Amino acid sequence: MNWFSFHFADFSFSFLSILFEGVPFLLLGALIAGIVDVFVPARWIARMLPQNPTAAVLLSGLLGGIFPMCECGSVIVIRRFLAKGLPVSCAISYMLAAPVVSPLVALSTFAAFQGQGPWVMTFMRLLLGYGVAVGAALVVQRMRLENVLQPKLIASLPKAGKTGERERSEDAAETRLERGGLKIAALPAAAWKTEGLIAKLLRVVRSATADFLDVALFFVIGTALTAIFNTAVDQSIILPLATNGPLATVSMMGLAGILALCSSTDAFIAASFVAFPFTAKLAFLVFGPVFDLKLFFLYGVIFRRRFVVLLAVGLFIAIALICMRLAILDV
Amino acid sequence: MTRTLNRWLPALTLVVWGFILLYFYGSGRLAAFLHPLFRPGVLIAGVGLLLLAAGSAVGGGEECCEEDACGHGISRLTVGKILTFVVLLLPVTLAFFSTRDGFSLNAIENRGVVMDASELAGRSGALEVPQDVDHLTISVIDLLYAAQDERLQEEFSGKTIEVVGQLMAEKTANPRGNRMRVVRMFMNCCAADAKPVGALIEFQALPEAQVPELSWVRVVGKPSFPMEGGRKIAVLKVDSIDVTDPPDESMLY
Repeated sequence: MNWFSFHFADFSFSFLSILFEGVPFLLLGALIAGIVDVFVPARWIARMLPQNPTAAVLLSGLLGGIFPMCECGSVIVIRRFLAKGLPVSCAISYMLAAPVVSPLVALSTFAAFQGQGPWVMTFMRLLLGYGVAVGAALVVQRMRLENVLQPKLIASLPKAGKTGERERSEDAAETRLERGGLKIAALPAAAWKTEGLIAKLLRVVRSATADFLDVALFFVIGTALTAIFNTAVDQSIILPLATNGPLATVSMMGLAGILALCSSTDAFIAASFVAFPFTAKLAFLVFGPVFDLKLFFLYGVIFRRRFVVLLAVGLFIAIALICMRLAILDV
Repeated sequence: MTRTLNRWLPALTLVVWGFILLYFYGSGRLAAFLHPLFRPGVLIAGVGLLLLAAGSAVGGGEECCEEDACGHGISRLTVGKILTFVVLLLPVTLAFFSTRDGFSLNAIENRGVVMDASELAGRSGALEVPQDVDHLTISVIDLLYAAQDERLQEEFSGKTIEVVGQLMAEKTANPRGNRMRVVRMFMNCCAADAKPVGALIEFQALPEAQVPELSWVRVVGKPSFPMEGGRKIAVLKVDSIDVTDPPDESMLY
């Protein structure tokens, strides 16, 4: 039996349909990121965090609800947060949770899973995404900073102890900025006071355009791969995977890692795998936003390669085990 | 050179994307691609992309951020800008010119036609069947649900049923060779997640004039619900079959 038969017209139809569905969400995310980039200094967020490190991690994981960011955007943002003295654990909590714990993602997941338990899927995705992010952050809290961050980034950070505890002193923060060279945001500190609204809006446009194009690049590649799979592959050949719970979960997570989809649109693709069990799709939706091929490269900008690999393995195992357990509980 | 690329490559990419989105929305072709819930988003995004393109061009090609705090790893580099330009425009443009706004027989078969309502999500509301009419126009999926619903089977009994769908050959449940399928695509959000749903139609004898597969047909006949393969199935015994135009919403019910 011929399991692969590619027809470009079918590919085009499927490809464009995913694109049309995803682009509005992608654009909205880029605009929000641009506005946050220009109008919201990272220090405002840092000030909101409690003194207790665990409470700070828990709260950081929820910041995506206020400052929604897709996974590509969150990497950019936490780099700025780290420079401002945000603890690494809090940064990781935000970075991993923000692509999932966001109103936009909740909305798109709910919309995509119409007819497939939208309330349960949305709730489970947000809950599990948050739990995994906080869990990973609490582990990182106990790790030595030099095992986590890139050396050049450590050099730019405050003398913050092994776990990157936050300093609240404004002066200390300013000193760090001078020394480290990493700025609070893309906008130079002085410009916050001097730039007019039009100039700031133009910066929003530039930042949003760059965010949109950066992410759209990976979105197009992911969408193209998905469209090929969606139309050219005889889906009956993956049915043995779909009917085997653990195999279905692991294969969907592997697919999420390869497709590297944006978290604001991946639910539409997951929902199209109708043959796969609910928990395998949940695993796809939780793992994809926290780790995939493009994130492997993006994380490397901030973190040591060995840490990135450990993070990938840890997240994969944790999410797979939780989803397999949920499958046994018949969720 | 870099400043020119900064200014025009992103703007051009956004203009092409914005135009494609607005074209599909304005021409009505979007109906084949997206559920109505998502169509306004395409209009808004199309306009938004054009505005972003204008802002990008007006901006005069300045870099997106300060160099040491910029996270735009790809679009920061000139080669990245060119790569983004090519990757974003090439497949989209090719797809724009080659899509036929529907799936081929091959793609439908690859997805696997659902012939059993148990493979579908439960229906959102009960189908109300008027008692004072003899001729009912229903959807293919209603016929499938009826095979699992004794109330519907009773209410359909003795009535003439009309369904519209695309004709496909029946390769499995066809012991006497006189059956075909009438299939509709069932889209949740976008065409990529569309699932083909089919019901059996049975002829006294196959018509001499062969209708090509995937032609849109209107089938009128009497429903029956025989037990086959250990389960009750729906079969529409054909009184008449005509080629017809596709419905306005060919991917929805």
